[in-house]
Amino acid sequence: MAANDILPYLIIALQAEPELLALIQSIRSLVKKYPALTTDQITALVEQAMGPADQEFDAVLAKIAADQGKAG
Amino acid sequence: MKRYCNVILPVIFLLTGCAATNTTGTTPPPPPTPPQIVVANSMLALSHALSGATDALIACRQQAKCSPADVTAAENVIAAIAMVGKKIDQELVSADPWTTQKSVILEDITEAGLTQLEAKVSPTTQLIVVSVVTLFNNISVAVGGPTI
Repeated sequence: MAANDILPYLIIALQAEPELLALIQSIRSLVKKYPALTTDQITALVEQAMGPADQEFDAVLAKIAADQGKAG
Repeated sequence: MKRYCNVILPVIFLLTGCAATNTTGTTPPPPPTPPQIVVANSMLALSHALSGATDALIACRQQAKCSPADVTAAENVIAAIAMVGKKIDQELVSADPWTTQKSVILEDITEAGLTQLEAKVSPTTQLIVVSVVTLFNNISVAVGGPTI
């Protein structure tokens, strides 16, 4: 595309700058309102919570076993 | 030049006009959090609550406010919930779709017979494990299961 071909678009973009900004902002806000999580993202979030949870469950079981061993 | 303006300007004004005039005040509802994430976060909270309840039970016995038998009974309930928690963890990180995960989790909860566990806990220790029971019930309800 030659420079002469781009010029009209640039002129239009400059003239319509506030409207273009409003358009970009509204698209960004829509993306924020509807963040679509992919399956991989869901899996990553679940794994992020499950790792520490599993360790804590193990720690609880060990703590109870130790306490009952001591008490018994 | 004029030709471009005649075509592109109306399109831009139409698009920006639509975006800018969205001032009806009706906010669309936020997207629902995927159920797997709800259960995963609840599991993490449950694991912390179990740890806290175990410490509280031991302290209760050490301060002679709870009998050793009551504490042991409550610890057994906590251990049973922790075991189910580990099973749920395994299922949640599996490659199964949510519908399968949901039914497996429900099966784990039902098989553990946790609904009968409350009867095994004395009123004194019940006060300590109440947060655990509440969190566990949230998870159970999320998969359509019974509450303790």
